[in-house]
Amino acid sequence: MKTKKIYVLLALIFALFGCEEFLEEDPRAVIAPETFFASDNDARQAIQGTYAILKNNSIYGQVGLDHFYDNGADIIEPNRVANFVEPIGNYSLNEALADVSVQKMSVSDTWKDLYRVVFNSNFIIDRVTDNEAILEEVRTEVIAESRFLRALSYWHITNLWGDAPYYTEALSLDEVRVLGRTDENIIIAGIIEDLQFAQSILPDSYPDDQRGRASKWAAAIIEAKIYMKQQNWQAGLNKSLEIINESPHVLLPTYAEVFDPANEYNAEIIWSLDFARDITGQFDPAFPGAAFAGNSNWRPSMFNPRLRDEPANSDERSALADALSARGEAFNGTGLQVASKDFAEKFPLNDLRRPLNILDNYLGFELNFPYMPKFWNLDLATSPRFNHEDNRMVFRMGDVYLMAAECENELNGPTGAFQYLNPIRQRAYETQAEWDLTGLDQQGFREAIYDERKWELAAEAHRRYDLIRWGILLDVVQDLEYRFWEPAINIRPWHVLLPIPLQELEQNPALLESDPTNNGYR
Amino acid sequence: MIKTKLKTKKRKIGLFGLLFTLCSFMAWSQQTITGTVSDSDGPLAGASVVVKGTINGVSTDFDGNFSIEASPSDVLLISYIGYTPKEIPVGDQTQIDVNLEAGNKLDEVVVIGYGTQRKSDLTGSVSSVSSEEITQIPTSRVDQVLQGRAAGVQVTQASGAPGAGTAIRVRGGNSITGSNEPLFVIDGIVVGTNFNLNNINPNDIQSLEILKDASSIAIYGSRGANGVVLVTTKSGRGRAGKPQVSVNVFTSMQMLPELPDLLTREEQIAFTNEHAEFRGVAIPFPDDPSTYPNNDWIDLTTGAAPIYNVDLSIAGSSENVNYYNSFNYYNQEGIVKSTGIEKFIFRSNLDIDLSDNLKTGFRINYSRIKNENGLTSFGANAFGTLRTQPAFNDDGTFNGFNDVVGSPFNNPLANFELNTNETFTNNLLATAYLEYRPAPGWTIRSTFSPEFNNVKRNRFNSSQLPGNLAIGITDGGTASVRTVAGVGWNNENTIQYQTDIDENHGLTVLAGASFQKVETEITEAEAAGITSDATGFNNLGNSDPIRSVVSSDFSGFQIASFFGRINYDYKNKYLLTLVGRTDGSSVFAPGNKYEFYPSIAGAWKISEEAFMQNQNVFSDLKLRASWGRSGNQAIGPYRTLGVLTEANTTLNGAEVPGLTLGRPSNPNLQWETTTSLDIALEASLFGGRIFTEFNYYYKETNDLLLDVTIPRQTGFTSQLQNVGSLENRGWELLVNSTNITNNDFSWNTTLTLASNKNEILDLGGQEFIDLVVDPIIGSGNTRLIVGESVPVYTGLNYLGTWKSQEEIDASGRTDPQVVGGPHFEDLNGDGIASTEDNVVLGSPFPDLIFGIENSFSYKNFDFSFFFQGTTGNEVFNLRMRNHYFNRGEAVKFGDLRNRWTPDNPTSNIPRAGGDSVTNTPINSEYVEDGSHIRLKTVRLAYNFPTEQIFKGVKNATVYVSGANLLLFSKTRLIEPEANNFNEGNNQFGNIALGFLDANYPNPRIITLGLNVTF
Repeated sequence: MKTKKIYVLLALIFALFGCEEFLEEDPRAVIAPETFFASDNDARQAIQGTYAILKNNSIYGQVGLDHFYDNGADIIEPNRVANFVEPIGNYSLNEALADVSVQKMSVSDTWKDLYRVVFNSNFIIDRVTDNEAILEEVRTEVIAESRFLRALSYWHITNLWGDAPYYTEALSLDEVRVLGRTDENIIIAGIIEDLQFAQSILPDSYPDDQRGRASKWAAAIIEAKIYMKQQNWQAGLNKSLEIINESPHVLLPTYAEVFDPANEYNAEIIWSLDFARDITGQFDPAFPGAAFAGNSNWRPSMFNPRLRDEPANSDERSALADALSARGEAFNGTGLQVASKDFAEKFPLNDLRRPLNILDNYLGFELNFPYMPKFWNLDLATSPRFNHEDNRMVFRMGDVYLMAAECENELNGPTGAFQYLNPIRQRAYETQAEWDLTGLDQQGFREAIYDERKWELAAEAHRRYDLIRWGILLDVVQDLEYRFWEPAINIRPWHVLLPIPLQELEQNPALLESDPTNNGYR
Repeated sequence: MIKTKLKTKKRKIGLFGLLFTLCSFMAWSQQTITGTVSDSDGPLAGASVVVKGTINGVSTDFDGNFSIEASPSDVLLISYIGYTPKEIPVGDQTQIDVNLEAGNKLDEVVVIGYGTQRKSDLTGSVSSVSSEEITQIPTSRVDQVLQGRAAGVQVTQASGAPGAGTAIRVRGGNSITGSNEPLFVIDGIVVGTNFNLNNINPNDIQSLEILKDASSIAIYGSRGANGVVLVTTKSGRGRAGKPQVSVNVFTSMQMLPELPDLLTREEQIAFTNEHAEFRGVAIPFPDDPSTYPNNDWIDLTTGAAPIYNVDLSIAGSSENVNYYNSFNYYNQEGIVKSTGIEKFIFRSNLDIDLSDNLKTGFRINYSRIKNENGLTSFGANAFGTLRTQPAFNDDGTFNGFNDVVGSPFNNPLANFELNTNETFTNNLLATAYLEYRPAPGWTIRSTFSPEFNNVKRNRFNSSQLPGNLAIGITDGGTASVRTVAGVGWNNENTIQYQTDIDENHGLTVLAGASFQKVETEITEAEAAGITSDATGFNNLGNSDPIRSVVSSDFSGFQIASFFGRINYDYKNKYLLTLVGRTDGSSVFAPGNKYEFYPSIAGAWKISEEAFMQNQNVFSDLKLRASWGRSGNQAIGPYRTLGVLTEANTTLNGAEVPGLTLGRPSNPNLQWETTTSLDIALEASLFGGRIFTEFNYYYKETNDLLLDVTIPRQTGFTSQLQNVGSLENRGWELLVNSTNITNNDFSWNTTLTLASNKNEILDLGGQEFIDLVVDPIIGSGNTRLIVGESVPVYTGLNYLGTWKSQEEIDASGRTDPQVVGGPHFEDLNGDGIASTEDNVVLGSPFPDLIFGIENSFSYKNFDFSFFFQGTTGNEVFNLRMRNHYFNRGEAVKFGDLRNRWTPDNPTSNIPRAGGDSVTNTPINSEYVEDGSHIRLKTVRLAYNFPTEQIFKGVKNATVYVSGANLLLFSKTRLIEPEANNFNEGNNQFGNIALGFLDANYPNPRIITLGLNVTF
C-alpha cells in the first residue's frame, strides 16, 4: 500500500510540467526575421538598417573607402606613418595584410560589409516581394531602394576586385559561402539592370525629413560612371546629360558653398550620407560598447589637424590653442588625411579652390602640414572630435559636368566639351584668362580633364578610380614623392585591383578557381 | 526518548539518517539499557544505538540519552556521522555511557549532490573546506576562501577592488566560448555560474565542497562540467540547550602593496625630451625639470582604507524545531579612493519536524549591497598620468588639459568631487522544503527555491569636468540609470530508497526531477546635456531630450532535468556508483534540446580486506576510479534563432530606427560534452596522523562551440558552430599531516599541489584562431592553436637593440630600423618583422599550483600561516605598449633608465624614439613570468581559557591576522594575479586570462578580530 502511495506521489511530481512546452524559448526582446516584415514601417526600418551598414568605417564611415579611392594616389597621404593606410599608401599590400583590420578598416572589412549590404538587400527583396502586409507602392519603393543599395555595393566590389562572388537572391549561408568569382561583365550587367530599375521607381528628391536617402539620380550617376569605364562614351554622355538636364541638382555659384557645413543638402549634392552628432548611426562601430564617444562620425577628425603637430613654430602652440579657443575651435583631429606633398606643390596658386583644398596657414600661424579644410570642421560645439555632424558626401553635380565634358571630348573632340568644362572652371578662377582653356586639342583636353578632376574633386573618393580607368595609375604614382613612404618604388601593375584577403581564400578555395593568381597578388 | 527503527549496517545511516531521527515504530522488548552518548564537547543528539545484527535501534535525544531493549549477549553498535563507531557488548550492564571520538578524515561527512556521504564511502573526487577553515580567513566572499585550499581548484583574484570576484577553474577550462566558472549550489539551490557571491556571508557557511570528477558532477549533468561548488549554511541542529549567540567582530586596515618601478620626474622629463629630440619635434619640457609639477598620482588617488565587519548569529534547537539566524554588516573602503562596498546580510534557517515522518523548513538569505564602483581607473589615471601633470590650475580650479599631448586630461581629483558611480543590489535567495518518509528506507523530498535579484546602477558625470571645460565643451553632464531585475525559481524533487539486500549488499537508489526558470529584465536610460549638477542621475528628464537613450531587454531560459543515482556496496569493501541525468534546455532548437549524461564510478576499500588487517601503517586505504560525461550549454538564450538587430541611423540629422540581420543563425547548435576519467588513491596513515589523496584525471571536451570564421562574402565574419575539441589532464595531491600533537602543543600541515595541462585538439579544421581580446592591441597576440593550451600569447621575438648600422645593413631587413631601436626577429627571413614571424610566447596556465598551510597550537594560542602560489605560468603585460615601447610622452617603467643611448651602447632596452622609426608590435618582452609565491594569510589567535572568561561565555577568541603580506613575483607590474578581462567585460573573458593592465592592486590587510560565543 505504501509503495502505491509512493508511485502516486512520483507520478504527481513528474507530471507537474509538460516538458516540451516548458522548454520553449520565449524571445520577447528578439526581433525574428521570420515574422518581422509585417508593415510598411517594418520594411522601411530594414532599409534604414542597410544604410547603417553603408556608414560603417569600412565603407563610407571614417576613411574606409578613402583607402582605396584616394590614398595611394596623388591627393591624400597621412601626415605621419599610419599603419592603417600603409598597405595602400605605400603599396605594400598583400593577401595577408588585406586581413589586418584597424578600427574596422581593411580590405577584408570593406569586402565583408559590401557583401553584408548585398546579403541584406537580397533578404529584404525576398521578404517584401508579394508580401500582402505591405502596401504595393511601399513594396515597390523598398525593392527599388534595395536594388540600388545592392548595385552600389557590387559596383564598389567590381571596382576594387574585378571578378567577384555574385548573388542576387536570398540564398542560405551554406549556398553563399562556396560561391566562386563571377566574371565582372556579368556583374556589371546585373548592376545596370538594378540601377535602371531603381531609376524607374525612386523619386527625384525626398522630403526634408528623408534627406540622406539615395534618389534616382544617385543611381543615374553610377550608371554613367560604369559606361565611362567601359568607354561607352555615348551612353555615358547621355546619362550625364540626363542628370544635368532633368535632375533638380545644379552647380552652386561658388566652390566654397558646396562644402558649407551649414548647408549640407545643397542643390549641387546628388547624394550624401547623413551623419549627426551624438548618434552613432553606423551598424558596426569601431569600438563596441555604446558608451564610447568615438563611435560616432570620425571622418572630419581624420582631416582636422592635431595640436601637437602644429604650428610650425612649436613655441607658439599655446598661442594657437588660445586663438582657436577664442573662436570656439580646436585642433583636436588626427591629421591623418592631409594633402599629399605633390598635390600641395602643384595646386595652382590662383585657383579659388586652393584654400579649400590646401591650407598651410591658419589664423596667422604657419602650419607644418597642408590640410584640406573643405572636409575639416574645427567647431567644438557642432562638430566635436570623433563625433562630427558632418555628412559624408557621395556624389555631386560638379562631377557630372566633368563627366559630360570627358565623354563629349572622347566622342567628338573638345569643341562641344567646353560647355561642360567651363562652368566648373569659371567658378574656380577670377578671370576668363585664367579659366578659359580654349584651343586645346583632344589629347590636351583629355589631360586637362585629368587635372581638373584632381583639383575639383580632391579627396571625394574618385581619384584612384579615375586613374585606373584612364590606365595611368602606375605612371602617376611612379612619378610621386611622398613624405616618408615610397609608393613610387613599390607600386606594381596588379595594384589596380585589391587582393581577395587570405582568410577568404582559405575559407573558400573556389575563389581561386577562375584566377589562381588572385588579381596578380600570388 | 524516541525509538527509531534503524538499519543494522552502520554506514546505512549515512545518507539521510541525519535528517531523520524522529520516526517512531514499536520495538520488542527484552531488558532495558539506558545511557548517554557524548563527545569531548558534551552530549551528542541524534547518535544511533542499535543492537548489532538486528533492526532494533534508537537514536539519542537532545541530551544524548538513549534507552534500548537488549539481551546480555547482544552487542550495541553506537555511531554518529563523523565519529568512529564503537561496539560495546551488553553483558550485565544496564547503564552504558559512551564517549565517541571524532573520526579521521575519511569518516567526515561530506555534502554531495542531492545528499551527503561519508568521505570513506565516496567514489568520486570531492574537496572540502570546513567552517573552521573559513572562519580563519576574515573575508567577505567565499570564493576567496577556496584559494590554494582545494587541490585542483585554481582561484585567481583578478582585482583588489572591494567586492571584486575571482576566476575559478576546477581542473582547467573546458570551454572556449562558454563559461568556465564552476556551478554554485547554495543549500541545494542551483544559482548558476555567475551568482554574486557578495550576497552570501562566509560566516554563515558550514561547509564548502567542490565536486571535481565525472561521478560527483554527473548528477548535475549539463551544468556541472566545470565543477560544482556546494555551499551548505549552518543550522541549529545539535545545539541543544539554551540558544547559542555568537558575535564575530573584526576591523582591518588595507594598505597599498609594493608598486611597479616607474621613472622619477627628472628621469621621465629626460626620456620624453630625448624622444622628441630624436623625432625632431619640439621639446615638451624645455625648462629646468624642477620647475614642473611633481605629482605622485598614485599617492593622490589611493590610501590606506579600513574594513569593519560585525556578525551576529543565534542558533539553537528544541524538540521539534532548530534554527540559525544571523546578521552581517560589512563595510569596506577601497585603497583606491572612491571605491567601496557596504553590505547588510540577513539569514534565517529553520527546520521543523511536523510529525514523525514529515519535516519541513526553509533557508532565507537577504542581502543589500552598495558598491562604490570607483571614479578613477588605477591603471589609466593613477599609474598612467605623468608626474608633471598639474592637478590644479593657478586659480585653484581643477586642471583639465594635458599640455604634453595636447588633449583633455581626465582629472581623477575632479571626478572624486563631481561624479557618481554606484550600484545597489538587493538579493533574496530562499528555499523551502518538505520531506516525507512514507516507509522505512524511503525519503521523498521536494524543494522550491525562488531568487529575486535587483540591481540598480547610477552614474553621473558632471557638466563641470575640467577635461571638457578645457576644450570648451559646455553642453552639460551625462547620467544613466540601469536596472536589472532577475526572477528565477528552482524546483527539485527527489525520491530515495535505501536498503540492505542482505548482510553483504547495500543499495541506495535516488531518482529526481529538477526544473528551473530564470528571467532577466534590463532597463536603461541615459541622458546628456544635464546643465545642473544638483539633480545628477535623479532627474534624467532635466536634460537634452534629443540625446537621451533608452533601452530595455528581456531574456530567459528554462531547464528541465531528470536524474538518478544508484549506490551499491558489497561488504563495505567494494563500492559502485551509477549516475545518469537527462537535461533539457530551452536555449537549443527543437530536436537538440535534450542530452543524457551517464557516469560510473567504483571504489575499493583496500584497508577493509583481510590481508590488510595485520598492518598498522594504513588505517584507511582506498582506490577509486570514475568515468563519465558532463556538459556545458555554453550559449545564451536565443542563439539558435535568427535575429534582426538594431541598426539605427540618421536621416536629415535625426535618428531613425533601423534593423538589419544580426548574427547568422545556427539551429544545429548542441551541448559541449566533456568526458572525464579520474583515478585516485586515498590513504589515512599512522592512525589518522596523515591523510593523503592523489588524483589523476583526463578530460576531453568535444563539440566545442566556436565562433568559426566563415567566408565574408556572406556578409558575416563568423558563425557559432560545434566543431572543436580540447583536453585537460593533470594530477592533484593533498597531504594533511598532524606532525606533532600532545596536550599543550600541536602542529598540523596541509599541502595541496595540482598540475593541469590543457591542450587544443581540434579547431574545426583551422590551425589557429586569432582572438581580439583588446581592440587597441588588435589581433595576432592571443591565439588558439591546435596542440597548445587555451589560449597562448603570441608575438615576435624581441632580440634586444640594434647595436650598429652595420648590423642592420647585414640583416637584410627592408622595414625601417634604427641603431638603438628595438630588434624583432624576422623568423621567415622575408626582410620584415610581421605577424607571420609570430611565435608562441607563453600561456596563462601554471605547471604547478600549490598551497601550504602550517598551523600550530600551544596552550591557548593558535598560529597559522598559509603560502600559496604558482609556477610556470606567463602573464601578458598590456602596459608594455605605452610604458616601455611606444609613446614618448607616456609614463615609463624604471627599466628605461638603462635604455640604449650613444653613451650606453650595449643596452638591450630600446632608445627613446626608436618607436617612431620601427613598428613595435606585440613581442616577447610583453610576456612575463607569472610564477609567484604569496603569503596569503598569517594568523595568531588567543583562546581565552574557559575559566577566565565571564560566566555564560562559552568561548572567546581574539586574533590578529594578515593577508597578502608577502609576495614574490617577477612581473614588472608586481601583481601577477590580476586580470584585465573577465566573463562579464570581454567576449573572451572566459579564456583570456593573465592580462595585466596595472589593475586595481590587491591590498595588504591587517585584521584584528574577536569571536565570542555565549
